[in-house]
Amino acid sequence: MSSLFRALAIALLVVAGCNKTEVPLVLQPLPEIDTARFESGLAERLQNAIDAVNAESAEPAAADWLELGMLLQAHGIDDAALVSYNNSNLLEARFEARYLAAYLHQQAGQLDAAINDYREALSFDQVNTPTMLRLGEIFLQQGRLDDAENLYGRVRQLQPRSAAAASGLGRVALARQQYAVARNHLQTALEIEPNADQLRYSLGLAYRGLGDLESARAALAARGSRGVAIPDPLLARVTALRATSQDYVKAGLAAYESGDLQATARYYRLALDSNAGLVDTRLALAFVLEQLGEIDQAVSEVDYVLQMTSENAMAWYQRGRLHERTANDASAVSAYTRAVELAPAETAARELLADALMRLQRYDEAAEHYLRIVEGEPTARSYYLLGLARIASGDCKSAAAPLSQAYAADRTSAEAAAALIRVDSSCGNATRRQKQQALQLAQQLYQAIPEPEFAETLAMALAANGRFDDATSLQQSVVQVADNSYSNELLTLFRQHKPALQAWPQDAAIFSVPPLGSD
Amino acid sequence: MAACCLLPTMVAAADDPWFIDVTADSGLRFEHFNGMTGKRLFAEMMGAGGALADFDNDGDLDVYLVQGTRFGHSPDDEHCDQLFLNALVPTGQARFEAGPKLPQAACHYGMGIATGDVDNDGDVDIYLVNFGRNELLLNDGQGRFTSATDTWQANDDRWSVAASFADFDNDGWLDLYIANYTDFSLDNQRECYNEAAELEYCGPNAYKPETDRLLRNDAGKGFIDVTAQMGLAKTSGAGLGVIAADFTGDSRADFFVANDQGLNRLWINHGERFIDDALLAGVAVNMEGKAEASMGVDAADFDADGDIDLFMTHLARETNTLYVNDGNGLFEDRTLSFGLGGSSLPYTGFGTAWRDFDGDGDLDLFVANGAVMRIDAQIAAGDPLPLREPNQVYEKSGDGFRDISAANPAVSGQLTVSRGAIFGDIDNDGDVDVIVTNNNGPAQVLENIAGSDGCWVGIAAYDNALQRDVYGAAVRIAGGNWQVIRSDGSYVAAHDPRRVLRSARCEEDLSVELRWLEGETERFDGVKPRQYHRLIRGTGKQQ
Repeated sequence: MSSLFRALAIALLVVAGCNKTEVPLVLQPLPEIDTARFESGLAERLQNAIDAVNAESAEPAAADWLELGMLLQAHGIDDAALVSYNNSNLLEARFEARYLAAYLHQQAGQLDAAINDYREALSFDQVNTPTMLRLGEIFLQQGRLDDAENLYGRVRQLQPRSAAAASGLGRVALARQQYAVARNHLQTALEIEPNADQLRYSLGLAYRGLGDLESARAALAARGSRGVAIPDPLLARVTALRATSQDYVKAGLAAYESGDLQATARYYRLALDSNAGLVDTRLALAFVLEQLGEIDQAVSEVDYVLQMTSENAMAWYQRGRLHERTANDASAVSAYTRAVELAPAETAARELLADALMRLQRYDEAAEHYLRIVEGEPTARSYYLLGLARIASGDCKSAAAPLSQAYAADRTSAEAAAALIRVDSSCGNATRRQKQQALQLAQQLYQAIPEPEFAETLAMALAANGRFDDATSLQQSVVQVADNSYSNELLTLFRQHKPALQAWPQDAAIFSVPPLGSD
Repeated sequence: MAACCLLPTMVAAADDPWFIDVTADSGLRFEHFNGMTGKRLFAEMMGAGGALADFDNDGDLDVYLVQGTRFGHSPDDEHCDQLFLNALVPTGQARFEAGPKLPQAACHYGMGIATGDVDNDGDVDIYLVNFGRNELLLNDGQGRFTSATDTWQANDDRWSVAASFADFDNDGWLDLYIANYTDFSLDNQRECYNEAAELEYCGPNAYKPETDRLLRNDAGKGFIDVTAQMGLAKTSGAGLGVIAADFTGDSRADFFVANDQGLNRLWINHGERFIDDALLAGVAVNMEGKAEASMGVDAADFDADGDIDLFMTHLARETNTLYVNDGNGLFEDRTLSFGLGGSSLPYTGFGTAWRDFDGDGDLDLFVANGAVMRIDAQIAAGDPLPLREPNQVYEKSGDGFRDISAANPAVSGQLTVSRGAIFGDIDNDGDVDVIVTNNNGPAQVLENIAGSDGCWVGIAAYDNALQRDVYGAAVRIAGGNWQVIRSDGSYVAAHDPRRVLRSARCEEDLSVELRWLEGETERFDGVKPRQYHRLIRGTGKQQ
C-alpha cells in the first residue's frame, strides 16, 4: 500500500521564460510520506495533492505546493509541509506560504528561521496583524522587548480593541518589571476578552510585583487555560482541512459537551466511516443513540462491536443496559455477567448486574455482587445496597451490619437511617439496646423530616419497644395523610438515586410494619 | 595582549567534548525491557531509571538499574533490577561487575528509585517506585538487600514514578515523599490516536491524576503515613519528579513536585502542615500561565546568589523551563533570557541536573531526551519504539546557557529514547559522570573528560549521632557558593550525594563550610584538595 504513493525525491527544474541566463530553481525533494498509515479518505486526498505537484505533464504551480503544504500541516506532517511551503515560495513567493512556513518554524523552536519568514510575509502584507502578533511573541520570548513592544504597538494602532496586542504590551512591561504598566495593559486585555483567563496568571504576577499579594492570589486563583485569541483566517483554513476519524471524534465530543446529541451521532458516524475499527467510538455512538431513543440502532452498533471482539467489557455492559431498555432483565444479567467476568474491578457493571438480579428476585446472587462492590468501594451507597439485598434475601440478621456502615458513612442519608431503624426494630436478633437506639434515631429522623414514610418508620420503632398505642396512633395518622405504603416511598427515594431500578421487592421484611406485639 | 591569547584558548576548550561513551569498557551490561506488545500501554513509554551510590561502603559508586517486566507478570523473575558493584576500590579502574542477587521485590515493573539510609545503620537503602507495588529494600552494608516493605509499611500500590528521602521534621530520620502519577492500569487502558488516526500512546490527561504520599520515619521502626495529617491528601497531580530543598530558608525541607500537564506543587513546610504555594511562587506554570508537561526537575543555586532555583524538563513544543528565585521564595520564568528556550522546543526532556561538568565553578546542565509521541520518520523506518531523540548538554556561560551538544557526540550523536540521567563521579576523579537509562535499550555510561583538572574537593557530610550521611546540608569552600548534598532530583533517578567544590587556588589545604539542616554552620580547615572527604559533624574534622 505504501508503494502507491512514491516519494517526490526528484529535483524539479523550472526555467522562467526564455531567459537562459537565469539560475534554474531547484525545488526541495518532498520527504517520504507513508500514506498507507492514513485512513483511506485522507490517503486519497493526500495522493491527489501529491499528484498535483508531481504531474509530469505540467509545471508544478506554487498554488499546488501551497495546497499540499496546508493539507500536510493539517495532519501533523510538518516536515513535508515545510518543504511544500518552501517550494511554493521558490516558484512564486507569496504571503501565505511565507506565513505558514514561519508558523511551522516557530512551533519547532526554529526561531531565527521563523523571524525571517514572518518578516518576508510582512513584506507582502505590512498590516497583517496575526503576523505581527506572532513575530512579537518570538521577540518577547527572546527578550527583545523593544522589538516586541513596537509590533504590539502597531497592532494596537491598527486594532485598538485587540486583546492580543494589549496582552503583549502587558507581558513586555511585566518582563521589564514595570508592574503597574503591566497591570493596566493586562486589565485592558481582560476587559476586551474576559474569557482569556490565562492572562490572569500574568496579571497575578504583576500584582505580586506590586506587593499586592491579596490581589495576586485572587488573580492567580482565577487563572485558566484559555489564551488570548489571535484571529487568523489562514491558520483557520489549515485547521478546516483536518479530516481524520479522530478529528470527527473530537468534533463529536465537542458536540456532546454542547448538548447536541444529533450532531454528536453524525460526527461519530463520520469517524466510523473513516475507520470502522474504532471500538470506543462505536460504543460512544451506541450510547448517544440510546439517549436519543434509537434503541434498535444502538443495539446494532453494540452488536457490531461484539462481533469484532467478544472480549470488550464495555460493550457487554452497554448491551446489558440496552436489554434493560427493552425490559429484558434475564438477558441483561447475561450481558452484565460477561462484563464483570472481563473486568472484575468494574463496579458500574457489577452494580447493574446486582440490580437486575434483584428484579429477578435472585436475591442471594445480588447480595453476593453487592458484597464484592462493598469490598472494592466501601461507600455509604454500596453498604446500603448490600443491606437491602440481604433483607430481600431474608437474611435480616446480616443486613444490620452493612446498613449500620451505610449510616455511619453518611449520616445525612435518610434512606440508610430508615433502613437501619427498620432492621433493628424488626429483626429477631435485635437486642433491647439496639431497639432503643433505633427508636431514638427514628424520633430524630421524623423530627428532621416529618414525612409519612418516616412516621411509619417511627411507628415500627415504637412497636418494637413495646409502645404499641403510640405506634398505632402514629400509623393511623399516617394512613390518613398518605395512601402510599412506606415501601413505595422508599422505592421512590431509591429511584431518585438509581433511575434504572424498576421492580424492587415489596415483600421484604423491611417494607412491612411488624405485627404489633411481636418482638 | 593577555586577552588576545586567552580568548582562543577558552573558546577551544569550550568546544572540546566533555564526555566520552565508555559503556563498552565499563562492564555495565544492562538492557532495559519495557514489555511492549504493540498495545501502546501508557507505562511502557515512561522508561525507568537507576541510582549511583556506594552501596557496599567501599568508597566508590555502584550502580542500581531499574528494570521493566512483562505486563501482567509481577513479580517477573525473568526481568529484575540489577545491581553492579564498582571495582574502582581497590583496583583503581572504574569497572562494574554484577553485584549480589536482588530479592524478588526487585522484579516488579520498575520506574524510579530513591536512596538514603532509612534505618541509620550507615549504609544506603533503596526505595523502588513502580508501576504497581513499591518496595523498600534494606541494605546489610555490603550491597545485599532484603525487602522491608511490609514491616516498614512502605507500600503504595499505585503508579509511582518519583520519590525523595528527606528529613522533613528534622528528627534525624529520613522521611519519604512519593510522587504518584495517574490511575492508568491494565484494566483501564484507553485508546488514543495520532494525526494519522493510528493507535498512539495516551498522555496523562487520559487518566485521573493521583495524590502523592508522605511517609514519616518513626525513628527507624517503620513509616507512618502522614499524607492527610500534613495536608497533602486532597491535592492530586500526575507527578513525575520530586525534589526536597529548603526553598524558604527556614531550615525545613520543602518539596517541589513536577507534575505532567498539571500544576506543579511547591509544598512549603510549615512544621505542622505543608501548604502548596506554587502559584504565587511562580513555579506552578510557565510564564504564559500554561501548565506544562513537567518531567524531570533539579534544584540548585545555579546563579550563585544564595537561593535555590529550579529547572524542569518538558514535552516537545514546550520549553524546558528555568525558574529563578528572587531570594524570597518568589520565582520568575527566565528560560528564554538564559538561552534555554529554542533549543529545547524540538525535544521531550526527562532526566536532568545542574552539575559543574567542565570544572569551571559554575553549574552546567544535562538533559536526557526521548519523545512520547511516535516520530513519523522513525515509524517509516520500521523502528519498533520510534521515540528517539538526541540528548543535550549546556554550558553555563556568562549570563546564560549555551547548547554545546553538537560538540559532544557521545551525548547527542546517537538517537535514543532516554529517560533517566544519573549523575555521579564514577571514577572519583573530581568530575561528574553520567549514566543515561534508555527505554527498551541499553544503559549508557558517559565519562566526563573535561572537569577533573584544576582544584577540586569532594564532600560528603556525616553525623556521628545519626550514624549516617546527611542529606540536605549545604557545603561550600569558604566564601564560595553553596551546594546542597542530596541524592534526589532528575527523573526516575538517585544520584551521588557528594558534592564537588572548586577553588581558584590549590597551593594549600582548603577551608570548607558546612551548613547543617538546622541552620548551624561549621567550618572545616585543612581539607586536602583533589580528594573526597566525609566531614564529621561537630568535630571540624574529616575522614
